[in-house]
Amino acid sequence: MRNLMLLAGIAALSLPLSSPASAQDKGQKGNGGEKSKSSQGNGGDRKSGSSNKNSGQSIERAQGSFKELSRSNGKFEKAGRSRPDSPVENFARGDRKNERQAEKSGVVDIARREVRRDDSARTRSFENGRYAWREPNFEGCPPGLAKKNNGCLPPGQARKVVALNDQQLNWSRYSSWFSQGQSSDWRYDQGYAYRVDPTSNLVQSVIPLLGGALFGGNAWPQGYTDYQVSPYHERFFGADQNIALRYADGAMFGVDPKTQMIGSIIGLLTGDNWNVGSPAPQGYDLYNVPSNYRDQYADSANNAYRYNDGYVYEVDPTTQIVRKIIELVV
Amino acid sequence: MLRFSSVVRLSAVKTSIVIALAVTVSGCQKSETDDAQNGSVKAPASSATFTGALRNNEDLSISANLIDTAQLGTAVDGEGSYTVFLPVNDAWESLDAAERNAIEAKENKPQLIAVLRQHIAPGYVLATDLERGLSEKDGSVTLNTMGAMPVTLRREGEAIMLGKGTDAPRIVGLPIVAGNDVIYRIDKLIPPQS
Repeated sequence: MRNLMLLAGIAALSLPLSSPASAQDKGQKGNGGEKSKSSQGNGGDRKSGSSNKNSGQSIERAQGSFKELSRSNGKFEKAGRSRPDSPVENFARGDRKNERQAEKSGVVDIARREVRRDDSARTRSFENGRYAWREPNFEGCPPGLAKKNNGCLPPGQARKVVALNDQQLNWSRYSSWFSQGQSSDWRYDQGYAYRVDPTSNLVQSVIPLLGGALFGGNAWPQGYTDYQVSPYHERFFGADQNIALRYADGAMFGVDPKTQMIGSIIGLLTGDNWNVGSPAPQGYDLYNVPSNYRDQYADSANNAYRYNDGYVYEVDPTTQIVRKIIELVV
Repeated sequence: MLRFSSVVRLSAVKTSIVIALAVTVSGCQKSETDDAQNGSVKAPASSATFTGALRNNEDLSISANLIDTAQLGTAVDGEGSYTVFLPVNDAWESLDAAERNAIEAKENKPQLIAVLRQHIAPGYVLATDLERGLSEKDGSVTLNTMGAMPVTLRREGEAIMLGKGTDAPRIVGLPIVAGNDVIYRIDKLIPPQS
């Protein structure tokens, strides 16, 4: 009987939501403040933007916003509001020098647009038949508990957590969807996953889980700060003054910015890793572009399009190399 | 539970396209839209939203209740686009009682959500897309999910099955297009990895 669990989604909890590869480059280039946290407001130091859409760029935006298109029952409309730059767009701008040089020579080298992904980006890979997430680094504590030498729990509670096993959890075989079963240092208790040092039996990390601590009606876990949402996803999912977006465990949450209460789960995300100039992730064998964009992004002999996490990706149908990242909201 | 008007707004703006998939999945080669417009086949129930579709289809009522318990309805109704493989009522009812109780237990919502996420794929996969992909990929395609691992769909005779083995869940009935989402009924839960 497996009595220790590594939860499939928990690694994602401590890591900021990834935008496509291009988005990650922004932070590395030091352009400043693109990775915003919802609690820090949506304005920040983002600049008012101009479209970067041109044929030479790896990033472009679809005509009209996803929401506007939805509201207009499929008719394409331009949203009439200005928009902040996204990290994707800013990357694209930062890469324009090379682009222009390439265009002057009449050659656009897609591979040159490949960017390095921020090491802290939340992505998953596929290993041994399952998705694998990087180990979380969150070391916060549940509400009301300060971090102590035992991790962050009172000694009694720490011992209780260490003693947890499947029988106590009363889970079925379907719990394997919930755990990777490949690590011996994770336990689950009352909405949190606990990482326990196998040598010292001290609780090292506490991770809030979707459906546990991360659930509508609960307060956002105190001290849990790894919930970064990219500016693009703030636009895509619709953050405003009444709803702050936070991200954890593969889900986007709407949180009341005043009370910090979780209102709803407003989206699910894969975290799949798409990089311009690199092969598309596995698992996208089927055309899956949303209905409003099918006319604009239809598969052909020369181009394939796939949707994931709010973006459409243009892929070379022969090589499976990602050519473009296309934003769907203005 | 706290609700936000903004979240309601997010749900409300979903596309109201309710083109009924007027063909069965198996053997479907024609455009769903064309079929629906031509009235050549009986149109299935459909809805403008994912949760609306669940309300309109009694054979998915248990899945609907569990989606509601898991608070995932708003997520699927929201801005993203999803293809959802939902077990019909018989699938849930055929589970071992202990298993079903464990999945549905109030204290096990993380596990319930993990099970449901395994049944949700990113994007909008119509029956025609599925058929085309199966034809191009020698009868087997892989879809990433929001869960712990991808799901493989394969053609087995006239059926389309999810995963390996003769006991694997299969797509049954007509798919439903609901806003930016597509729902496929399946006759069993996607089983855990052995």
